[in-house]
Amino acid sequence: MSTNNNSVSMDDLVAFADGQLESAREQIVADYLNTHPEAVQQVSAYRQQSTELHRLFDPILSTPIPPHLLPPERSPFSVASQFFPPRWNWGIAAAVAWVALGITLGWVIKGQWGAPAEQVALMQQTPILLRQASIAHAVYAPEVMHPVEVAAKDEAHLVKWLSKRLNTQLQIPSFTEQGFSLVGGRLLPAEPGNAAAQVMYENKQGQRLTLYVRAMEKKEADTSFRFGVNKGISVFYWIDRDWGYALSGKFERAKLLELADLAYRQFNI
Amino acid sequence: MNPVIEHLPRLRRYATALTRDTERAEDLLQDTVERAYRKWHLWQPNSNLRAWLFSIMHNVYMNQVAREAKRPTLVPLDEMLEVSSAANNEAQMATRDLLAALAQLSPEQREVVLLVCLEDMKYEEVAYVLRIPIGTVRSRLARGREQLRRLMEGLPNKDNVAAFKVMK
Repeated sequence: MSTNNNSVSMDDLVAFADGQLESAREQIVADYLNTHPEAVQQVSAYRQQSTELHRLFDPILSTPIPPHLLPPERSPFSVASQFFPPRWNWGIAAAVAWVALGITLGWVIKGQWGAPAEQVALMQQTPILLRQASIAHAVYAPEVMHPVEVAAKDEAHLVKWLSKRLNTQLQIPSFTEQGFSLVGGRLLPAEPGNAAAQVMYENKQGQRLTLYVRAMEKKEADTSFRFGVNKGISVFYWIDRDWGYALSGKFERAKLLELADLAYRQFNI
Repeated sequence: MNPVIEHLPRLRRYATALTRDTERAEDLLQDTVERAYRKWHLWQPNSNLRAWLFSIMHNVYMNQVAREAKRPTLVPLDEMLEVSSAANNEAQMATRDLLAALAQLSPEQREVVLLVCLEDMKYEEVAYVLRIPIGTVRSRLARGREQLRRLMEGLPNKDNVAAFKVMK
């Protein structure tokens, strides 16, 4: 229903009742209401509808959600299994299933569907992993002169140095069979107050792949692979035993997944 | 941990208001959640997850409506009365009237009315959820709310809404 400057339509009255009237029409409607008591009643009736609907249906918000509405095999944490190619390693699939089961049991045992503190923490942390890894990739992957701080020829030193700064025994996975050679690595700051490592690989076409590793906040559950795209950079990321990993590159999802799968297996030998 | 969980209570409230039947509402919620998980890879991180989920529920609901158009169903209004906290007869009557009036809206009108009045969405968000132009949101909402008002007040339904336009 169209409106012009001289008429007040039902759309206007409804939008006025909802507080969603465009400001240009507020005065016109206000003037109209001053001289049309029946329209005032109408607006009041519309507002009453909202109040009544809330009164009637709001109690549902505080009713616990039945557990069967969230079957474990369908949780987003295992949704990855639906796009894993057939060659997907069964060991990982089993690990994913165990993680999903653990998470589900955790929910059931806690007996609540709100987000406990560590779940909230993970919810906030995981996108950070995606974001930081993709930004680090965007900054350093196009770099011609200084893509890394320590080059691949000093790989032993690179591993020792990054392991010391990250306070873990870092392993650098190999993707040589997939056509990627190691370029090197660098240390990066990672909030809050952590260090992160970025390791870079390159194939013969000059396409670069980066692996980003950082310590996550304590008490975080492991996750299966999650996929995200940030600023055109595809990332598979996961959390395993308090460490966050992210593999980034401008590759097709299936290709990147194959590489992420490979990295995961090499970390878990 | 699972970002969908925090939206479940609202999705469930919306499903209940749409279907006015707790059992059907749970089916609708379950189908929506399953579909969201199947399509999880399509969700863009940092985009509006609530609108995305409601949009999925809208699609599932419309599919159900299309299926059910083939067979008439009865709406158990009394069941809903238990959900309401209404303690006295008058409030129960009002509840019954509102549910009956809601049932008489077309599914399309009911969706717009509930998204705005119950979910407190902005018209822009409703347009996104239902994938319709914002002008359609406005007119559908106005028709739906006016029909609801007339039903509640026992007035005859006015089919020609355009005739309602008042000259200043």
